[in-house]
Amino acid sequence: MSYTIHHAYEDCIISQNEVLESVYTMRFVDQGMESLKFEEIEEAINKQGASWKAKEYDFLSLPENELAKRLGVKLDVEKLEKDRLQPKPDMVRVMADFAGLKHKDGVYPLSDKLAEIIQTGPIYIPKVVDWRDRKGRNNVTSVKDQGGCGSCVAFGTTATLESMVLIEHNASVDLSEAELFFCGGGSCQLGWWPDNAVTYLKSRGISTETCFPYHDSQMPCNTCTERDGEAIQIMNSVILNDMYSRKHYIKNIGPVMCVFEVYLDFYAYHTGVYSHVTGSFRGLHCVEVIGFDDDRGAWICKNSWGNGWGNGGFFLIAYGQCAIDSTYPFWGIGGTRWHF
Amino acid sequence: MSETIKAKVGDIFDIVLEGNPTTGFIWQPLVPHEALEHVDTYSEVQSSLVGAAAKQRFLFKALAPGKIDLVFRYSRPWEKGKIRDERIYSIQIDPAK
Repeated sequence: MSYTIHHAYEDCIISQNEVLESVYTMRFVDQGMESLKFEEIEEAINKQGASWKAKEYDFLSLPENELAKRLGVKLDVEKLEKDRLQPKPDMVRVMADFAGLKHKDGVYPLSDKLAEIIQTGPIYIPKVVDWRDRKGRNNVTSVKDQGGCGSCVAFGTTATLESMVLIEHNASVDLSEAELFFCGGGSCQLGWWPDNAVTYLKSRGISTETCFPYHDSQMPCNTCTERDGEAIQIMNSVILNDMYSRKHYIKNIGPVMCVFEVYLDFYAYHTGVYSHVTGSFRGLHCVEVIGFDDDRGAWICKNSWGNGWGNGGFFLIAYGQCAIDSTYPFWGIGGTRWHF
Repeated sequence: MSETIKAKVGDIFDIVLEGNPTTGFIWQPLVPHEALEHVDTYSEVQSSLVGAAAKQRFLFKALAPGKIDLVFRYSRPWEKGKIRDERIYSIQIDPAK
């Protein structure tokens, strides 16, 4: 069974109900004129009151005469529904688990750390959190480039893991996206899913970039002989669906991974808060969310398209845009440790 | 080496190119041609997963007789001068009967 969502340019948010009502297959249909002209993107930004700036690239001035673009994507709606129906996490428990506190039958012994979590954790969420400047240091590693391979899940996940190693151990590491993606079962052509990346990090962990360097074409799983001695794995993961849990987690624990829909105007993003104003759907993308800004109503993210894209490789995306909050979860990972 | 496509005036023909737009790379026809009208583009994502590749099907209508070299480039818009791939199609358009 399949059905069609007629997808207006003005609104790229697909409601949760629409998604959950479908079975396995969704088909997005974009109808109407599409233009890649820079002036038209700027006009759409102004008309819709969006607060981002586009950069004029060569391709944006190429004339196009497209009457319509149609795109199809199949989603595992059953899996999405299962994730979405997960109970709202008890954030005190999540924080205790991520802090490594041991419990017996769900009861945590009293400790200074537990008292600190209970007292400071859920009460206050600031308007702005940015892990590039938090706890007196930068907890976000450099912007990477996935090249022409559909390995964004590995890059978003590895970036999050590197941040968590910095936060939990104050250690800067350059970890192997190649191991996560090519040993974990990812495909440059078919993509991957964050759940699979989390499972691999829990079971095996990943080694360093030096041990298994990345190239942007399908590679055999070929780690170095020292791999097991230097791999880092995780003990904890959590799926975050609601805004409160997401902000609470990001404030108290660290960055997360997210999935959102990429539209053509996203390529032209330069600065400001991105919201979809024009152009058709291009695919699903995964990045690290390194913070949020309530004053601007946006998530702060690190992309994996090199530092020449966007704002030095970073971008802000408005809450609710491109299904980031309505359809796809955030994934939190932590409890990092060296795998022995 | 270019691929040759033969069409008659009034025909609609397609060119299919594989790429992965989630990586920032996209196919674009390089220059417009008066003898061709780019009437439509279909893109089909190849799997349900995040980061999946997509086939782009460009539809053109032959408007006038002649021979045209139609160039497509696969690149990231912000990476000036860096071309990942290039395809040239030699389009032979004959008069309609």
